[in-house]
Parts: sequence; structure tokens; C-alpha cells
Amino acid sequence: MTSNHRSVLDLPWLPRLSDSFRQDLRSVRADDAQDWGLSLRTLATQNLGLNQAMALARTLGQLRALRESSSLTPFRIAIVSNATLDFVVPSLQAAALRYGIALDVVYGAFGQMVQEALDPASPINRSKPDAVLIAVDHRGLPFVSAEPSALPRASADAALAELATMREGFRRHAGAVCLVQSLPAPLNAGFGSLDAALSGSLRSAISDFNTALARSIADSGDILIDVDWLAQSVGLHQWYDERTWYLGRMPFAQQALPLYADYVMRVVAAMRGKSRKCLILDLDNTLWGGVIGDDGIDGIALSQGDARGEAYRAIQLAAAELRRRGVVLAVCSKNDDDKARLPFRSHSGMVLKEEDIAVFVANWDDKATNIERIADRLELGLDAMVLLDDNPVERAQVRQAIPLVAVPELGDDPSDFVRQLMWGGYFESVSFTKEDLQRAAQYKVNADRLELKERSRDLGEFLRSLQMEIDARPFDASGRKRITQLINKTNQFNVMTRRYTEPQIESMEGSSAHYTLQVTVRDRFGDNGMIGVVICDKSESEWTIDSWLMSCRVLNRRVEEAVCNRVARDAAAAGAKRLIGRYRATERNGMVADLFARLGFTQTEGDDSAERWVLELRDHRPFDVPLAEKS
Amino acid sequence: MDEDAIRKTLEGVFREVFEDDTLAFADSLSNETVAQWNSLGHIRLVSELEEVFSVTFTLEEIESMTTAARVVALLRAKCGK
Repeated sequence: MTSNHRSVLDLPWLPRLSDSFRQDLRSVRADDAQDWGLSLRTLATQNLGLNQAMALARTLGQLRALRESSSLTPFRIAIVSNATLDFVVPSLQAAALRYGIALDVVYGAFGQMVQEALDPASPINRSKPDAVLIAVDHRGLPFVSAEPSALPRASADAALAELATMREGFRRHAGAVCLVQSLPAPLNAGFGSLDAALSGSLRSAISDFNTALARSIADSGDILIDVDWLAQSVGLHQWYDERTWYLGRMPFAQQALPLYADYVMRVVAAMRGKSRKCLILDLDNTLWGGVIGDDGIDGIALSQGDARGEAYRAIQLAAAELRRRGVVLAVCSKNDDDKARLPFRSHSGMVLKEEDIAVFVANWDDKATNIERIADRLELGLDAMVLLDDNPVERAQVRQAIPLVAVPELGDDPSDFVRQLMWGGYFESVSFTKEDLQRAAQYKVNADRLELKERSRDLGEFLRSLQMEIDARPFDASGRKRITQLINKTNQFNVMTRRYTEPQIESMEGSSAHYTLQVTVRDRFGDNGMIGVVICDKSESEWTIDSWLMSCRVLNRRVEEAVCNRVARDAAAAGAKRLIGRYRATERNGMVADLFARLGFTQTEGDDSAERWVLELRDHRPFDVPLAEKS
Repeated sequence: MDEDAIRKTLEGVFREVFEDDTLAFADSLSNETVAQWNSLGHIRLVSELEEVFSVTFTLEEIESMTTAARVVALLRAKCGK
């Protein structure tokens, strides 16, 4: 069976180049009113050839000279190479636009990689780039040992040492992250299959190089760009072009340039947190074969042992794997809700479960509207979404209405859907931690909370239905780190913005001069963790609030009233007559300017440093709050 | 493809590759007279010609292709009548 796969060189997940590209570009230049950053980003989201990339990069330069666009994140990349790479610059800039990045490129002098790295005053080091792309080609690295008599005589050691020198130099003098490329295997093998097994062959030396490089990347702060894998997926015979190497030292074929540029820029985008975070799945003919509303539970294709069923199960497996990595899943289907859920509940071929889906939307509204709803529910931007949908009409509608959503192009055969989705690199990641494993579940919990809020008739009912529990206790050793963290990073709900170090917090534990509270809130969806800190200076007749801060996570839930109740009660029990609240306005804490007023304090004379508010404890009646106290 | 058709197509290719919508194709155009026809532009021209005309050029042919006249001659030999 010959493959009719579209070549990966054509970036098959992107829409095909529109006939009106040149015209569209001209109208962006001409229109002063619109946000040109967003327009160029949309224009970049198609399969651009080299000429189109140049035109787009040129337009970017012209428009940036007039005014910056707030929709684009600036990024400066320096490039060093032992091959010729200046031809990649426009393609990199065009690909960068696709990810919402306005790219500045500093191109290193030819053949001067090590000098650029080691000289603190080199043009690259002086330009203070955000990242340095170390784009080495094996043909310019010292793989062949000087020992003329030895055969075979290749080793990775000298090349690795040279690379390490460069990385160290840039890190020290430019303060930049290094994006280090792995090396494609050489095209020609001296012996044949034996090259892979023979130590000292160029092939095994390059393989050693890549292995050592990957190992050295972990925990180094640098990032790997796996050009070895990229060249394999293109095919080495298509990747290399001897003619352009002889003509101008170009390390790979021109045809591979758009793919290479996208591959590099998706890593840069991931560095800036611009990777997509949510995969929205269509159902009919995307997660199973057929239409559930028409074919019924027994008519859809999803069984193991059935070829079509296997293809659709593979799509579900891929989605489940993405979820495990921290990508949130949602469903957006044109179906009755109960019919859409039926396979999840009753079909044994299903891989995905209902609880894997953070937001499940099945109705007859248009998909663009539904996707906006999903984004709101997850509190994510549209630029965090990817839509997987077999229907070209739906894909076109969504692209047109909400161009920030990524919609990979799909062919007619579901066998190709997984590779089309994964090739797109939407979920590129530069790190992987334990938190990522929890992320999808956390999003689901949060989405459930928001859904409940929508369904509740009023805020009071919603808050009560949350079944919140507050746990407030004095500072102790186990809470110390988190207390210190909250004190130092909370800016908005923070009345005096006093910062303390961990030793200072420690000294307040068990101190008779201080009253302290660390506040945790749970609700029926889960534990919010520690969300508030209170510190009071105690004197016989009055307690002065030295610090009161809360995390934004629990705003508008009347937690501050519950905390006030607790402090007032404890102060009265200790014999104090009044609570003193101080407020010092900053640029960020405007939200608590009226906090004391809302809590029934009266303003008295303050001083230059802060306002002063007083609560007479004998007049204070506790607020009726929808929170139960745990301790 | 006859010579006129070749020249017509070439005008489009040159305009696109060298980013000049007003370029008028003439045999006398060369890498010394066209602004964007530098070493990078040359390689882009070769790529575009190979794709548009479905031909392949050898290294020698690429190096010799520094004038429009030479381009026409090469294309006539490979796909002309």
C-alpha cells in the first residue's frame, strides 16, 4: 500500500495558503484602525511558502516601526551556526507570528560561534537576547579525530566540549537560555548497517553526541531542539540537499525551511507559556465512527478488532495521554446531550470516560459560541484552545469566527488524525513536573464550581451550596513556608503589604505579643489550601492588625467576614476592647480600600504612613456567613 | 512550453521571488541589476523555478544562471519545444 500521506514538509495541519494572501497582507498595512498584531497572526496561520514568509516578515518590520501591537509578545533570539542560516530569519519571524510572538533576530558572524560565546563584548552577548539558538551542523564540528592512522576515527568528545564551551559562555555573558539542536544522522554510511554498531563511525559518534547532549540538558536551564527527530520525520534524503550545501553552506533543503522554522518557534512559544492548554473534541466521526444520533450505540464504529474502530480508539488514546500530561479535555458536539453521553456511559470500546472531560457541551448552537463558553468556564483564553473536528465546514466556521483557536486541518481518513494533531505541536512543553499531572483534574474541579455558580439562582444560594469550611489556626512549623510565600507574593488583598522573612515568621509562632492566623478553606469540590494570613500586635486594650492578606482564589465568598468574626471573637475573649485596622494604599491593593468600612470599622485619624480604622468590640455583632468553622 | 509562455511565467516568478510587483521581465535582467537577486535570492529563485516548471537544475546550471537570458535558455532546453 503506497502512502498517500501529505508530506510533513507542507505543514499539513495548517490550512492551505489562501489565494488572497498578498491582498490580505496589503490591507493589513493599509488599515490603521485594526490591531495589526492579531491580523498578522491570523495571516501567518496557513501553510506559507518562502516568498510569503519573506513578505510577512517585511510587513512585520514596517508595522513595528510605526507602533507596537499589544497582541504580540516580543522575543529576541540570537542565532549562531557553523553553517549558513541567515536565510531562516524571515521564516522564523513568520512562524513566530503564528504563536503570537514578534521576533527580533540577532545573527552571529559566520564561523564565529565560539568567539561570540566567549567574548563578553561580542555583538550577541551585548544584545542580551532572550535565547541563543545554537544551530550546529555536524559538518562543521570536530567529529573526526586528528589521529590519521586510526580507522574509523570519529568521536563525539571534541564536539561535545566545543558545544559545552559555547553554552557556558552564552549563559555567563548574555544571561540567555541556549536552545541547542541535536544532530541529524549523516546521510551516507561508510560501512552500511555496521556503522550503527561500530564505535568510531561518524554515525555512531553523532548518535553518542545526541545521547550525551540530551543527558546534559536536564537541569541545565538550556532547552533541546530535536532536529535529529525532525530530520528523521522528513526523511534524511529529503532533509539534506548537497547542492545548497556546496553553493552556500545551507544545512538542509529549502523545502524543509517552513517546517524547521515552526519547529523552533513552538519551543520558544512554550518558553513563554504560549503552548495550548485545552483540547476540544468533536464526537461524531472524530471520537467514534458514525453519528450517534442516527446510528445508535450499536451502529458506531469503536470496537477493538474492527479497523475503523481501532482508528477512533487511537484518537481517544492520544487524547487520554495528553490529559495525563496536563492538557485539559473538553467536548463540543452538535448533538442532544443525552445521546452524546451515551457511548461514554454504555460503549465498551470507549477509552475516554465522562470524568476525563472537564467541560462537556452537546447542543445545537454554533461551535464558535460553544467554544467561547468552554473558554469562559475553564477561565482560559481562546489562544489556549485546540479544536479537533472531522468536519471541514465546522473547522472553517470556527477559524473564521474565532481565529485565535487552533484548528488543525484533517484529511478524510481517521487513521491520520492522531499524527495530524500531534504534528501541529500545539502542546509543546519545555518542562514536566508533578503539578502537570494534576492540572487536568484541577481544571475539572474548577469548571464544576463555575457551572454550579451559573446554575444557582443567587449568590447566597451558590455560596451555601459550596459547603465551605474554614480552618483558622495560629502559625505553626508546618504552615511556615506557605505563610511566608503568601506574605511575600500577595499584592491585591493586602492591607499593609508588609513583607516578612521565614525566620521572622518563625519568631511569631507562640509569641505572646502576636496573634496569628493561617486560614484554609475547603469546599465541596476540594481543598483550596492556605488562602489567608492575619497578624495582630496584641496590647491589653486593643489588637492592631499588622497584616491581613488573602489569595484571590477565594474572593467574593465572604471569607473576610468569617475571618473578621474569628479575630473579633478571640480578641474579645482575651479582654481587648477594640480592633485597629491599618490600610496603606499601593498601586495594586485598591480592592481593600473599603475593606474596613465594609466590616463595620470607623475611620479615625491616621498618619502619613497609613489610614486608621477602629472596631469597638462590644458593638460588633458577628456576620452571618455561609462558612462553617472547623477549629 | 513555447518561449513566450516561458517568459510570461518567468515574469510572475521573478516578481514573486524578488518582491517587486512592478518588475518588467527582460533578458537583460541579472544578479547585478535586480535588487534582491543576491546569493539567498538566487537559491530561492532556483527553488521556485524547479517547483513551477517541474525541472531540476545541476550545480553547474545553477551557478551559470545569473542572467534572465540564461534562465530562459535553460528552461527552453528542459521543457521547451
